[in-house]
Amino acid sequence: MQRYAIIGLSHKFAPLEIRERLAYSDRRVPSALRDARERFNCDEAVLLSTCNRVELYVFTSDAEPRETLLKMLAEDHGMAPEFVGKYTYFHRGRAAVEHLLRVCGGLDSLVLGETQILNQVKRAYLLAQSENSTGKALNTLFHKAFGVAKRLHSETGISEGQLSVSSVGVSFARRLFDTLTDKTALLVGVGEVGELTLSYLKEQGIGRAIVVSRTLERAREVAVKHGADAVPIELMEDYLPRADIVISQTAADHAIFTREMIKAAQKKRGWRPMFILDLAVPRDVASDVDELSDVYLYNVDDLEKVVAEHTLARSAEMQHCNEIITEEAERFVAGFEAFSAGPLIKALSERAHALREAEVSRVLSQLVDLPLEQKQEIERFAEQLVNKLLHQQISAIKAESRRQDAASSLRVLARVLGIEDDTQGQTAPGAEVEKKS
Amino acid sequence: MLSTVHSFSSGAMGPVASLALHVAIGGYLVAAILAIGALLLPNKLKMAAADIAGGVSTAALAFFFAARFAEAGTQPLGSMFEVIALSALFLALAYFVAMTLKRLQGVGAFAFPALAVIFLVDYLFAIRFPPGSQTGPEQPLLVVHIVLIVLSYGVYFMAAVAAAMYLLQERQLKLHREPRWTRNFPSLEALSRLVNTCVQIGLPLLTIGFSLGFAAFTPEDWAGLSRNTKVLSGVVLWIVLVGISAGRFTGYLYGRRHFYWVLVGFFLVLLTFVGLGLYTAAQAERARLEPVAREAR
Repeated sequence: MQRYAIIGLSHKFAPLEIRERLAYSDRRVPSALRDARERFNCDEAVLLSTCNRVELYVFTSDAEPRETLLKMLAEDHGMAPEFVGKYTYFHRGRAAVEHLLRVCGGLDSLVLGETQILNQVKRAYLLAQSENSTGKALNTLFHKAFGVAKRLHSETGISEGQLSVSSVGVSFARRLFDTLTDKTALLVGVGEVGELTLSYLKEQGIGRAIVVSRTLERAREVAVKHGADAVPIELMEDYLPRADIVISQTAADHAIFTREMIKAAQKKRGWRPMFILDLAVPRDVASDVDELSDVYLYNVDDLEKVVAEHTLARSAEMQHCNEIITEEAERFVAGFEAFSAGPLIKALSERAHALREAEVSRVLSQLVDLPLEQKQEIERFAEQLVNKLLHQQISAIKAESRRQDAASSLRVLARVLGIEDDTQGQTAPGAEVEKKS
Repeated sequence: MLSTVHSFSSGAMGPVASLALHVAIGGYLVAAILAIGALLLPNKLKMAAADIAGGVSTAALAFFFAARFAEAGTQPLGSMFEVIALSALFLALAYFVAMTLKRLQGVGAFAFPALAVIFLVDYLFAIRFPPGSQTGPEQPLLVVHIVLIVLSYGVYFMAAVAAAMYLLQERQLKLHREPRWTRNFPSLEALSRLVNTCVQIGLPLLTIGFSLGFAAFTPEDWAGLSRNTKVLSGVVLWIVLVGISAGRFTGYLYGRRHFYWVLVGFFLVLLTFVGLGLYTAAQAERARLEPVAREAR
């Protein structure tokens, strides 16, 4: 278990300037993986490099993987290991397993519970797999992590609710409209959040988008970027009745949408629902517009309040998530131990029982006159004796398999028990997991 | 209560029908609990489980009617209990048809509890008017009349469920809230479409159903029209439903107002059952007193 190790840095401890310098581009990942395996005695390696984290997962027989991995990270980027060491974290064994489970579940992300990281980890894993850089050990671990992430997202509320003003705005729009393909969005003014909201709407398949700005040139610029139509601000009122979703983010110092204006537009629309996102400060839409039937007005405060609620709700799920992580990590560790020591235990058990059978047969052949019941009693006695003797040895092997140097010590153990020859190529606990799949 | 229910079910129907009926009622109760659970705790329960329980119950209810046909040899509309049970069957079928046409999340959390409540009310009717105290429809025209009306009630039931969900969802949107229990609701647009479709289907069915009822009227029926609570409540219902459809069509009714009126319409549908109950009771009373009056004369 101790052969699992991870070194990395993330948004938690490393500022953006450092993350930028230590990041790996997709192009560099294959060579870095080869490096990790060849130069640092890593049998298996996966390299995850995103804007928020750089992590190298390895399965190695190196006794001091931290130093070697740190050296590799530093050398790859022309930096001093001592400097890089200040920003990195290192986990080993069960802690490394738990770390990956947390990362995949989005529990270690900047935006708690986000699901994008899972796709990024999957991508990194597939890349490593295509480079023949994964074997049984990391394959098992990563598949476990993907399964646990799915469990976290389905059994807890860790990924429920959006955490940005734009995405919350779009999610409210989706509660109004069944489909966006036949809807029109009107973006009035071109602020950063407004543009982001429009791009989310485009992702959700909005039928038509219209951009209105004080200068037509600026409107066109934004419209081209988002595949929308540009309209001068003088025509805004004409286009208003066509809009199902209005996103307003102008720099005006007064309300540009009055109750009368929206009411008139709604009348022309046959009172079909209209969703208005007022992202401007000071507000672009008069507050009494919200009193109109079938008009749903949301301003920045409303959206930020929901974002805060979602953040709180996700944080409240942390305890449940931690319980799942602990449970799943325990299960993985138990499975791994059984896996690594399994062949040796099996060989030992088979050998002991073969000896038992031979000895019992020999004794019974000399006691031919013994009644059947007594013969059966002797067989039972022999079996119980062997099982009791084996129990102590099997427990010791399991305990040994948890140690860092389990591979070599289990080999010695096999030799001492006199079953090495029988088990070569199938037991050798270390060797079994070392083999690439 | 339980002993009355037991004596009712063991006295009024055979063991097979009784078993099927109780499986249906128990199933709807289970479906209602599962559906509400799925709405409130979407991470722990899935609406599909409620749909399965509801599906089994609906099959059991259909089997109940088949068994009643087989064992009674008469139309299974001979009592108030069975008329309401048949209505419940149509309501359940309307729900499953609507869900098959367009999967709308969360609707089951309203539909199944409503079905469970209908059966509880039905038991009250069963205890008050045991089978045999009334007679079933005598003409085939009346059977078609009943079936069409029950069908339209089923469709209006779906409209009412969707309207209630619309109003709840709309209120939360107006308050800028996003409670967990509304997250699985369909969008306002989908609910609005469901309500409009149901009203468009329900009104013609109801109109034809009522027309057939009037066509089967005897001169005696016409003479006693002003005292016929069943017909009067039905006419009021029809006028209100026509008004709602016209209001929507002309654009006078929009937004929350429209959906409130749809709920009023369904409330009137429930009132027609009361009208029917009163009418049936009056009929039974008249039948009981007639020999006494004749003797006195």
